[in-house]
Amino acid sequence: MEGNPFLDGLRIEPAPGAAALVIFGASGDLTRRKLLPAIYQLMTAHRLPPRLSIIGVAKTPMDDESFRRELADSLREFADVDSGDAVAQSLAGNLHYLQGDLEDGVLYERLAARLTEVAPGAGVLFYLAIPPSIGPAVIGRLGAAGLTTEADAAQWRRVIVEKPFGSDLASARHLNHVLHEHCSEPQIFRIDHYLGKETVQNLLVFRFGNGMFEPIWNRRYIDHVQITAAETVGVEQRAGYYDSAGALRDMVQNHLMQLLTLIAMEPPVAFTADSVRDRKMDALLSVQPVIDPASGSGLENVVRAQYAAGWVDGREVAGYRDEPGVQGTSTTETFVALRLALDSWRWAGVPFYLRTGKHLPKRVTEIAIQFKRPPLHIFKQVSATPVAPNLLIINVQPDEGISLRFEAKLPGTRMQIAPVMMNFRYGAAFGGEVPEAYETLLLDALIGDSTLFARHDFVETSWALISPIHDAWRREGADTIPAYEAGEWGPPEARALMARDGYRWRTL
Amino acid sequence: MNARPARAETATVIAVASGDARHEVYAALETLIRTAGVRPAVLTLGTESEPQRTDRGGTTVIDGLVTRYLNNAVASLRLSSLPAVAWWREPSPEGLTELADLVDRLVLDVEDPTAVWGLVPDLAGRTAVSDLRWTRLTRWRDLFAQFFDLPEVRQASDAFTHLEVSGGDRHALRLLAGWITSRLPGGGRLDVSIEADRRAAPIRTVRLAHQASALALRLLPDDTCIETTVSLAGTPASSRVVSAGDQRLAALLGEELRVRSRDIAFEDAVAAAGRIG
Repeated sequence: MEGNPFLDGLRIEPAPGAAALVIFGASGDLTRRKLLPAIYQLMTAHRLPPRLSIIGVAKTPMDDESFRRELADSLREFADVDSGDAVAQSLAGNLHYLQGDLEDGVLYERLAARLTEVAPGAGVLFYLAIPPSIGPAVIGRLGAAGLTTEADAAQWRRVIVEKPFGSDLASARHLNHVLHEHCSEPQIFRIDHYLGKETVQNLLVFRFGNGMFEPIWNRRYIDHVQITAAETVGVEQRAGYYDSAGALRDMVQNHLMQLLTLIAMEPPVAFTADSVRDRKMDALLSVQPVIDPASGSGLENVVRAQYAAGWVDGREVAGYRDEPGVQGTSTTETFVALRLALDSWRWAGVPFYLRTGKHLPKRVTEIAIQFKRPPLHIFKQVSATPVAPNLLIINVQPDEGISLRFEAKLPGTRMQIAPVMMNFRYGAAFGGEVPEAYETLLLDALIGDSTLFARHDFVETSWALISPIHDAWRREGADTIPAYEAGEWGPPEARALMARDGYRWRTL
Repeated sequence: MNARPARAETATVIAVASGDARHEVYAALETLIRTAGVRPAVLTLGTESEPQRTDRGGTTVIDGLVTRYLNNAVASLRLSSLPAVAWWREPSPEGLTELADLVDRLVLDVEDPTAVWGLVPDLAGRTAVSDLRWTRLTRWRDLFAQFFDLPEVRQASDAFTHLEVSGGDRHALRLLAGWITSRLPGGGRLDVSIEADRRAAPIRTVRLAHQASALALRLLPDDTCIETTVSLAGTPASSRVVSAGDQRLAALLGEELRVRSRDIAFEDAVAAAGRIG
């Protein structure tokens, strides 16, 4: 028998087998806000192994009972679930807590014993919801305790690593080296929650599941691409991390590069993890260095800025340097815009503009693909200005969906032209709730599907593009940075970056 | 005033259901209005020259419709901009063929499906057809299919001689057995045993075996989990326990609403179930 005849016509919903989930950083914000609600939603949808044991590990003094109360609080606050809920009670019964110093080997011996007790013979997913500074130590301890060793296929061992995956090329290589010392690449799941979003996954279906878009998805028809990830929030509680990272590291190296490659990639030969990730890598490799390695020039294609005091969402906010935990002389960028060129047959000559920032007017992440105008303006008599170019907008958040802008005749006896939008919204079109990114990604990791996770070579190649920009900024040695008023769409320099090419950022 | 954002409708679902269990139908449709944005209608067949048309919490209800006007009623209820799905719960297949011409998907849900399954080849030529029993079998089929992802199981596929299925729904058991015999190369040679016990869950066990080798699925006593076991001669048995999935009516219908294409595997399974008897 060649293939599997029972798969024909089967609507497969892969179900993970017996497993345990170990969350390092169980008392942290990510666990409360995202992980516990995601686990609850998956359990409600019957998508989890029936006896999934969850072991929370953290330094905070707690026991099983107080961790269960944390769960109840988390579900009440972030999933609108009351404590009498049957699924919540069942989930609480599977919850365990292990208190200890994450850098102490004894903790890992206790963890191994606990796993043997609550999930004998099961697969184990380790979720590192911890600060990046202690990630390598935890991985090292897990490996030293034999906890990353797979006895057989059923007793798999996987590790989810949260970003940042390093802070530059050298540190990313070091992190990958530490990971590979104790785990093989298929055991490592580098999570980028953007990839779990429905619209991002739909990009693959949209591009490769429809016959009508792919033929025009190239330099012949596409004029340029704009990718925007705007946040209304400032640094909030993350000043310590953010001040040493900045927008380029925090958003561009991972999220925006992932979005760019999904737009730019060639069709994979199959919808498999490696096939998809190979094509994304090809696209990433085609991105030309922003900073010329020989001359060090190229900074004219990057704009950085920092928010000053202003108004956002109807309230006055402080400037970045006045935020608690931020140095008064900080030159960390809270906004960055880039112009990227891809050297490939498909994209040669099509600029990709990326921008991201904090304290911008609106929380929105979108990809806008602007098509070329018709070659001839035949409506000169009725409209002196050329018709607006067609625009395909992929909304990643908050309102996941796709819109297409095209020209239409205004109703009436006169020939008047106006742009109209054709909208597809996930929530409205399919009904039901769109799953949270963490639900999708947690389930994928339990199943062992790494399609939506970053591979080591992607991370390193992305850093190889980003790190020279940081180096160039350092060489520049400026002790000032352009400012933008909080609540505005970045500095004038960002508008100039596009205006130079005859374009303007979309008004969102 | 805070206006609720308009919710788009995703499909027209027309239940043809004259039986006693209409409360089940209403409850499922109410859930689907909420969770899947369906535009529902319930039709009951009868002999009224002027059937009663009412609205029941957003569901259009037409009671006592003469069968020969069923297609007229459906034609008036469907919208060209939305897919129309018929949920057929009538024991008699009268009117079913004409209905199939008007809908994009036909979901059968009849206690004794013998008569309607006999029409499946014809219905499948008119629209995408399925059966809620088939939907209930999805998790079982998924788990059974996973056995054949193992190269050693595929290599041993010719050797299996016995198929045993047990549970409370004889027709579901036939359908499952039909699916296995129709997909397995040489499956027609299998010695099929069906053990039906009406008090049990629709499917309790599935076992494909040959001497010391067996592939087995077993519903665990709490009815929420299925244990899968592979025992091949000369190798230690391995098993795991997975969720049985959501088997509630609204969830099953919701799953059907997500599928719009023809299901050849179902058609083959129905044909094979007919041969099993």
